[in-house]
Amino acid sequence: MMSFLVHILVLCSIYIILAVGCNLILGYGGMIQMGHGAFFAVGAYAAAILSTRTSIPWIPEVLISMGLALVVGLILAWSMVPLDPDFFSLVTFGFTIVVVTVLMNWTSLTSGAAGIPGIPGIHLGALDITQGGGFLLLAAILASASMWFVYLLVRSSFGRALRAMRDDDIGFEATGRSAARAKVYAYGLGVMLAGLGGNLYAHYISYIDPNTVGVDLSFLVLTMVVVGGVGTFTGPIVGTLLLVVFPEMLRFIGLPASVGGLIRQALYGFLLVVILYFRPAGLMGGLDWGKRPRWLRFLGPRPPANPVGPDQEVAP
Amino acid sequence: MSTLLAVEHLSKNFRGLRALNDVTLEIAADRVTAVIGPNGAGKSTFFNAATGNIKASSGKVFFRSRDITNRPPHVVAQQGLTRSFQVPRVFSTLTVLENAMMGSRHVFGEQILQALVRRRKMWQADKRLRDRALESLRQVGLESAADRNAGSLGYAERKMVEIARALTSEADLLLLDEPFSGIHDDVASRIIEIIRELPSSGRGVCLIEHNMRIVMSIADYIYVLDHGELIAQGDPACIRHDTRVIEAYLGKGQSNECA
Repeated sequence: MMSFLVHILVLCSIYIILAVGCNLILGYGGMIQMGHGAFFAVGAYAAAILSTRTSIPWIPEVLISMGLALVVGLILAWSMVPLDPDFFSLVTFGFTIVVVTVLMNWTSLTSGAAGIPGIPGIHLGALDITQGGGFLLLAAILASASMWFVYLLVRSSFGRALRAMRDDDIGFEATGRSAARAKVYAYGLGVMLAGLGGNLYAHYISYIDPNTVGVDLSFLVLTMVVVGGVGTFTGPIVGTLLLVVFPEMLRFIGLPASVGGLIRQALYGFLLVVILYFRPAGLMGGLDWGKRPRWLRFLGPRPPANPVGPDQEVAP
Repeated sequence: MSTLLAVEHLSKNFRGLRALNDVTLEIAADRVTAVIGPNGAGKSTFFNAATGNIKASSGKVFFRSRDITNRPPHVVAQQGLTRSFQVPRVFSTLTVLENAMMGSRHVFGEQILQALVRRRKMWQADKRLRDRALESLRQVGLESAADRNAGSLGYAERKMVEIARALTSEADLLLLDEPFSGIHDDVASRIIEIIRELPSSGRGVCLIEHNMRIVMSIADYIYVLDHGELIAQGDPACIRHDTRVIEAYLGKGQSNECA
């Protein structure tokens, strides 16, 4: 039971890293990101290939995972600059499929559909972090660091400019700033975190194949952000906890394995519809810093990075 | 007279439609220039072509003698030429104050590394910028709304937010597209004063305006466009009595006796 709880918390940590990165792109950059799974794949396969074929230590390896995702992300985002924003989601979606197809067919590098088994745990100097509490500690530290990283970015002049670009890119350019540049940077930094999440996941599960990294994952992360509250700082974290913990709870109601998976999928959909019906801006939409109840004020000192969504009347 | 913006033989075709036809004009730093003309005369097209929001079909645009023809809008703005829009483009999830702050383009902390590691310096710069933006908001009479989301404002207030943003900017020339449309008279007189003050503080202004009473009271020099062509130019007194201008506005057959 304890190890199960640890397992859930590790997954939460990894998904939080993915979700806050996605939120930087979707919530603050205003780009509909359906390519998170692809960059998760880049990070995960970099980890898998490097750690099974070379003896490179973990720290440079994770930097390579993140760096590779960053570079590929910058190139992809740069190529999408001339596109209408509506096509952005399509291109990122297509890119995910391309990546999965490459992973399936580049068998000499990725073993194709068979996947890469036997990925070792993380070795930090003398520390051997493979399973359980040690891995949870590392994952939690990195999740906190990712949240801190995104917090610093969005609560800054950079974040203000990014939100301004999201609100009106033509008005933004009239102030002498390049909308393309802001988009590309936000995208690159967001998917860099996806690379980090992928790296951790590969080491934790110790096995990776193309089916675990593709379109489904892109949508899962997107759902976490949307359910939690797009463009709110706390939203993706709440959304992640909900979507990781809630399905796991179903294990305890004693459904036969044959229907359990199906019911899980159905409940996902149901949950999504219910939440978005009652709270279209997400669970934390409008409840981020500033407007939260008094007893939660300790979470944030100054008022807000505002959520996207219908214009909100704020008392003067 | 020091010329800030010089436009030479500027034309813009939208397929068959000549929206701008061989327009040549100059906008000076030390006076308020107005561009007037009937609906569809090509006034906004002129602004858009000058600032790179649309590509000119032919002709040249120079700002401070530098060729900015068909450069992207943000590059034009970096040269020191900012603008407002006919339908105001405010950042709706930012507060009014943040909108005004966005006018400045030298903001410490917009670089990613600065935002991550030079937090103290960033907040100090932010505080100075905030004071400057508040001053702009005070000028246009929006300081009481500083903390509201710009998205919650009405049309007239959004226009004021755009003007405050332009005032906060470091630009040498402000192009204002119909700053008085939908604005209450009391506010308008306040804005007229602000605009009249700008040339003496070393910033040129060019505005598009429909309301002739305001144009005559605010402009030092007027260009008149009709059907994409420059049909007249001169000071207000001269424009008021120009037969071609009266014809453009009221139609042929009107003598200038009734003007």
